[in-house]
Amino acid sequence: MSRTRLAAVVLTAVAVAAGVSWVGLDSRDPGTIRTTSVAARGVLPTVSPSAGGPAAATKGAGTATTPEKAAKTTKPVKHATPAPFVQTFAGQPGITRQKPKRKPTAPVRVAPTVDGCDRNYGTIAHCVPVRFPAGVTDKCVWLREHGFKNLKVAAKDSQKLDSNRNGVACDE
Amino acid sequence: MTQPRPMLSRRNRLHIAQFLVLTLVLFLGLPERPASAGANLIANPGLESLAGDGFPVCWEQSGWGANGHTFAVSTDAHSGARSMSVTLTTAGQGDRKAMMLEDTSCAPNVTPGHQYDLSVWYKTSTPNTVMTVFRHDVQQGWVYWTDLASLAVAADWTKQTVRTPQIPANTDQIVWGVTIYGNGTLKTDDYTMVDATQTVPDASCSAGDKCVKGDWQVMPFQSSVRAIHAVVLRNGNVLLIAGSGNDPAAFAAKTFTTAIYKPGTGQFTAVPTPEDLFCSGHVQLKDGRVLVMGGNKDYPAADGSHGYKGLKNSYIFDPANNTYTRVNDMTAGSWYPSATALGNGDVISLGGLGEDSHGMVATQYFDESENRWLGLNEANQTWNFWGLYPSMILMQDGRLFYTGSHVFGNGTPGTGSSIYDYGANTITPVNGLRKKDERDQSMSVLLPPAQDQKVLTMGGGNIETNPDAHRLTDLIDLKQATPAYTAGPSIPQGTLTGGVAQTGDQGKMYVSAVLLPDGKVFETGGALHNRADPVYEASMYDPATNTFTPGMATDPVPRGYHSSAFLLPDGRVMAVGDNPGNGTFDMRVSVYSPPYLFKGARPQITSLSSANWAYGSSNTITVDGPVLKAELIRPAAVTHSSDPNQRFVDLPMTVNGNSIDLNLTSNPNLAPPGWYMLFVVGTNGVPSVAKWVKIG
Repeated sequence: MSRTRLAAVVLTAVAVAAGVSWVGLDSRDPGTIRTTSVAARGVLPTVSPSAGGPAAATKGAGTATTPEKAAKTTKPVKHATPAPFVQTFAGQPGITRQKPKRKPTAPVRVAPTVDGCDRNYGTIAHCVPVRFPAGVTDKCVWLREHGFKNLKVAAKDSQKLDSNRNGVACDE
Repeated sequence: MTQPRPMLSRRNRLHIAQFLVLTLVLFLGLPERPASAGANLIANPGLESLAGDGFPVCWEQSGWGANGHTFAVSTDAHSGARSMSVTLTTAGQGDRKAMMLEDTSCAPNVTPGHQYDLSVWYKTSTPNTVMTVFRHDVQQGWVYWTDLASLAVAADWTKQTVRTPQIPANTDQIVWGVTIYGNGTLKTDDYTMVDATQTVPDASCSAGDKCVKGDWQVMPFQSSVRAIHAVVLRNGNVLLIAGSGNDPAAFAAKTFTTAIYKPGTGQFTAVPTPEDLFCSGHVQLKDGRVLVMGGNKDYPAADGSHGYKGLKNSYIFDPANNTYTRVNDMTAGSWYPSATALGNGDVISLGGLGEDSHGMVATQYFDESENRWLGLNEANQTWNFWGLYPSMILMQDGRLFYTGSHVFGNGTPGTGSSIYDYGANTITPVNGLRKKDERDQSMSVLLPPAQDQKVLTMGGGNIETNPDAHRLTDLIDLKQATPAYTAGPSIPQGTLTGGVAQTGDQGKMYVSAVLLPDGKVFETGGALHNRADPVYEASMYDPATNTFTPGMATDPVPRGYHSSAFLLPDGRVMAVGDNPGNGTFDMRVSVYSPPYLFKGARPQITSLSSANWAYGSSNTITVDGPVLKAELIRPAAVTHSSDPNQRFVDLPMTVNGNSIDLNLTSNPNLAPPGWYMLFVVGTNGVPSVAKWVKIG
């Protein structure tokens, strides 16, 4: 056997051995590989179940059920539809619940200018602000800059925009 | 005669020995494979080790409520000698859980962003069971996380496996188990939990800025109608309702318009419109038809003698034949009414202006099964005035959360936000909303996933006092015992007309917020003042990190009053409308392609086992590659920054190669019945094109 051939045989053997070992590591029983600290110690601690403890309270506090439609079923039913699982979140303990009011005898008044538009100017399609943004010193300049043209005074000149009183706002 | 050379000389043997030693050293020096890969992370998974009280170590008897129940260790085991048994005999309140112990030495460690396959062998005589997960938040401690899948009734040992969503940030451990909430017996055994995190492929992107900002395109055509109301239909088309379109000339001429827009072709089809549906409310019914309620009976008088008047008319639009059919009238006129679909398929409408221009105080209830509005005395009444387009979001227990988002003027008296219990007919205030009187045309969204029950309210102004719109956001977790808004991150600032940068506290009203299939929220459009001063800004909000990513591509078209943005089934976002105070209306249509559309191949849903899904069911799809998550997104029905029905429902997956079972919640309040867009998201973060499925 030549040296080269011998070296090749040995190398192959080592590679096979290493491979088998490597593969063997991969196929360890998953059940014996644990990543929790309990598993790492290899000894399970003695723990008292704490049904009434804080942990249980945490889990219990956030859960609820809805009326259980399948409760009357005595025999298991395949593919039965589960009842909705509803949580009891947002119980708002201690917060006063507002009961229904009496049916109002007077209407709940809402200003005709609910949309913030001064209907004294232009058509209904226009919206001259009832209140201009802070810092606006010349309303007509602001209106022009915002594309308002031929703005007729439809009713009263409530914001004094028609200084020449020709029925058209901001045209001078 | 020379001696024959030995096959292995001493020198040869030395070399071989050296080689073997070196090989051994190198082998031992190789890094060990991660223990998590394929490893079962559960302590005492087979329940064989018992504690002093006879219950399995690292497991606990959990649950709450006045119900007759029994926990036991059973000898009827899937393997080994023991299983856990929980029996409920008088269910009706609360539940019971066989759960892992919330103990640092027992609870499995997890890594944020990873996903885990949870498996359990079980038998159950009741379908009222669900796999439940709690997580340990490093700041909050142990908190409820989510419910994953209902377990079908099984008399023989059956294995259920579900993949968790990605572990949230700040989570270091989880515990899980099976909850039983109906009469019957549940036995479980042989729990496993393995890390199922998938390799994220190279996210190379060669699209430049689009890779991080996305891209807007203004369509080469204009909308055929003033698109003030937009509803995505179950066939993928978009219903655009104008009515008179805030155009008094059209109103006078009784020229009322509606169009169907087909995103695939860019075509608009006119739809005969029976009344002035401008200012109506709208929502999809469970069969995919659209309930349209109220509208504009009259515009305000110039002399101030009356304001807008609400219509009582109501119609159902059927996408099968593109027609409106009248149903019975509402109990009161409704101009700017809310519309929220309930878990039973019915609809509640609140607020708005009546036929007399006054505040509409009735609770108006549409009974889906009877196809009619109930009479005033048939529905519970609080006689409360909720304002205009109040944003009423359905909570997981069937109550409605009034977010404080509304249209026009101040918020409601008190804290400006509340919870409305239709069944009990009560209202309870909710604290914490800042600037509650400057939430006019803010936008509220139920954040992804709906299971998390978190709502974000963004921006807002006030058309009466007309301050600079602000950039505040407030976040509320409706899972808390006493939910209250807390301050969220500020909306990023953009530019005003002429490229002037926003300063100080300037933000936006007329906000649009769109839930995307990757689980983020795209925020776009808006303006600084009452029908004036558009804000050019868009950002991406990530619910997982509670942060905005600023600097997304901005719509070149101003999107202020009477604008909307909404998700299309192909994963793009469409924006329409703008109606500034000078009376013009921008008819341009913009479409946004989010960054995910530039990041590689889209996964495909190649088949659906069924397009009709029952609550609590598992539904098989096939895909063409690895998938990170799947969800249902309810199609938009939006106007005036208000779409309280918008929601993203997570679908926990049971993965078997390219065949995936999607587990739908058993709770209809989390996903009210109707047609939804089903998306899957690939491991590259790219969503599929939606398939349509009908829930309930």
